[in-house]
Amino acid sequence: MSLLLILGVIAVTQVIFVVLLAAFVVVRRERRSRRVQRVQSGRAQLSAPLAKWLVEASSVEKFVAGLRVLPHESALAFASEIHDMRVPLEQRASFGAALRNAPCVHWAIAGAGSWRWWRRLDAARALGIVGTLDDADALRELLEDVHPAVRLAGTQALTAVADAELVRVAVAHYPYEALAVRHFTTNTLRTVWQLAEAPLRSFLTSPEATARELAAWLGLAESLNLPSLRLATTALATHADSEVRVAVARALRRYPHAETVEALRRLLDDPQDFVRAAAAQALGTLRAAEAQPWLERRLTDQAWWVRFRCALALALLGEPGRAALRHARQSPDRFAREMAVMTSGLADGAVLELAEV
Amino acid sequence: MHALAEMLAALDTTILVYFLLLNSFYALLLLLSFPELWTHFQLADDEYFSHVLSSDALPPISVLVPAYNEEVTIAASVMSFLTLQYPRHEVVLVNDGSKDRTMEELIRSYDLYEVPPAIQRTISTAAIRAVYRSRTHTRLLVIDKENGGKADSLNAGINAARFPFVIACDADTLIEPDALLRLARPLLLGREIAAIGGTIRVVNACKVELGRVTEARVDSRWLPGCQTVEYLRAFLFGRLGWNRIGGNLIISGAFGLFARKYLLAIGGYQVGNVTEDMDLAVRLHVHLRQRGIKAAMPFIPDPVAWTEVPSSRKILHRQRERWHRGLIGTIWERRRMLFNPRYGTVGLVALPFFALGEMLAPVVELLGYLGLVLGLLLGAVNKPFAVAFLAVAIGYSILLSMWAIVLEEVTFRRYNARRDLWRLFFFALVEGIGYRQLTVYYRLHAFWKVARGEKGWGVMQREGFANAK
Repeated sequence: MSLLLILGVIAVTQVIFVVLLAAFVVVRRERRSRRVQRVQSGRAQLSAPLAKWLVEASSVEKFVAGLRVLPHESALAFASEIHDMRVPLEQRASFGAALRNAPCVHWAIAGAGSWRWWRRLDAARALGIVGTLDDADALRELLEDVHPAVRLAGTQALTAVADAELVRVAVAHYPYEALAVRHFTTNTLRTVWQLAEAPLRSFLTSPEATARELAAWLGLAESLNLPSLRLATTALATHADSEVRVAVARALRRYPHAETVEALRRLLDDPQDFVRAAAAQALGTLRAAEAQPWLERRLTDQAWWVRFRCALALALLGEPGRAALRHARQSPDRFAREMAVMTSGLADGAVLELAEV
Repeated sequence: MHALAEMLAALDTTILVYFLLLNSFYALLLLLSFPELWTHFQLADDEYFSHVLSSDALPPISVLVPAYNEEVTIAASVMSFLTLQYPRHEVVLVNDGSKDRTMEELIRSYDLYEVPPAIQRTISTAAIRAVYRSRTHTRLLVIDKENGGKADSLNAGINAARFPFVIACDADTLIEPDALLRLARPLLLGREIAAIGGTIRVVNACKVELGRVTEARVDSRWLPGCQTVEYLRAFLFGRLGWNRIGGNLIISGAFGLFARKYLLAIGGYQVGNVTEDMDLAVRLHVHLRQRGIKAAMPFIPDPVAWTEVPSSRKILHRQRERWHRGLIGTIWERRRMLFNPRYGTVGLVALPFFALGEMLAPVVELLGYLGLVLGLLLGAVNKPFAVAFLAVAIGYSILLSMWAIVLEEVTFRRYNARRDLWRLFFFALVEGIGYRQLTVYYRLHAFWKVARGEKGWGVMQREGFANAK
């Protein structure tokens, strides 16, 4: 075949492809528009049974049966929205039970072993609504999925499948999880804190735990805000690794207690500046009036961040702290003077906002 | 005459081989972009993940906005950055020695007060005149400095940023309200990140209200219309394809996120480089590679910033000539990396592609046109062959543009009106005739300017947003 003929064939193929692609775009746009209309009209049809069920004027089964008019993905998405609504726990439980045999849920759970991660994601999401203790094995696999999005949805199912072993697994995996998965694990563990408390305490006191693990578990303990974890947290204030000490400093702001303030005073003299900064921030959050002289002293710290956090903490201590900042504006120390000028101009709202971040 | 005919035949063969290799690589990028685009689409299109992405799990971000002589729009621009949907972000605006009333306008609009310039000067910059905070918007920090150019201003912003990630923006770029949330997605999903690039789209004919694009439209004019298709092609499969190869060399200067620690480690932006974004990406790659840091630099398609593209040939000429001059400069500076296995994918694939496939492309194309004309005049080239070759070359670029439109249609569908779809088709068909040759000429001009040692940006006049309210 000559080169000219090859080029000719390629040119004709290109024309065919261009026409096919244009046709595909036009047809797809039309089909999508019809599908959107179908979903919108289906959801509109469901609004009356939904409203009746929410005011307990009709049974949940009626509404769940109505979900069949929607394509599976849309039905599941709608069910997720309803599950996330602020409805009484009993109503949510009855919704989960009624939905268990809905076709969209069967379809979603059947995808738990799929090679496509978005199908596994749908399975995890469905289990978050309808899961029970019987689904513990399936959920465990989803919690150990390779895709973080699936693990994220899986952690949300822990509320429904409140299994002690699964909660322990979630806490054990926590230090190795992506930010978003950690965040949602924390939110879920708040709802099953009774199951999370024991494994978390045992991990925090484990001699085998690495600094990275301890720092992550301290962060989790801080978020769960369980008084029973205060001692285990404070005990780590003298840990050799600064990553752990800074996590302790952050976590201690959740525990207003004399021992906490004393531990933070020691951390305010830590050799690492970021630990001192976190300790100052925590003392401000705790509104620890007794910390005022320590914070004033640290306004001359070598590290900008420590001076900044101390100045904000002083501003949070109310009038005495503000007075100390005004006084520091005349300080012979340039660092203290500049930081006092910078923070004393801030409005109360601004101080709160900056101190939080 | 016989020797000339033989030379022309050799030139034809060389160009044919070049064409085949280059377009095969583009086809590879296209294939590689499919799984990338699909994965991003699954997350971006999911309402459940919109919820996840608006959570306070996100790391705080500093938005760096360099401004020069922007008194008319600065107050609105700053407000649009302050009101981006993101749980924790600050805006660091750097006034780069504006000669108009930009600074006065900022002081008035945001009740600024001067604070001591307590900023670590890790990267050296032009002298800082003053630092301001706002009494009304605590998340705003304004740095007033001597004029030093965009790169210098960004460096001052990097120094002053409080947060671990920074976003470099242009003051006149419109960022979609949820773009920061989307841009931060790879951080949430657990990847170690050095930089993330977002998509830039053409705003020219779009409906803009209060600094936001409320209706995406395709400009009916030739130049902006062709650039709309060109941007779709560049972002939707060019950069996505590079994600899989691991050699993304461009994080757009108008909208890109960076880990601050790596920017500080490489000394920030290089002042004086006319395409500072590509230079920065290359230096980041080198830094990561040399230290064995496994941090990714992905491009993700759904966070969108809108920018005005040139609608006159004069401004387009300046822009494309500058871009190409920057490309030549960067490749020349990094020539030791070319085909050097020490630099991994960047040295072996990405940089050679940019050198041979992008930098030299206008030269090869010019030689192709000259060879064709000469060949036809001398009868050394077979006429039907020349016509078929031209048709295939133009057809291939149309096909790639059509693919980009298909990718846009099956995923993000920003252009909802049917009229805009037809316009996209139309510009995909006509882009290869006229517009392409025009940009070849502009890029060739860059070689001329490089040879003469000319530097500088040139003035980029903007029309302002059409349909703006």
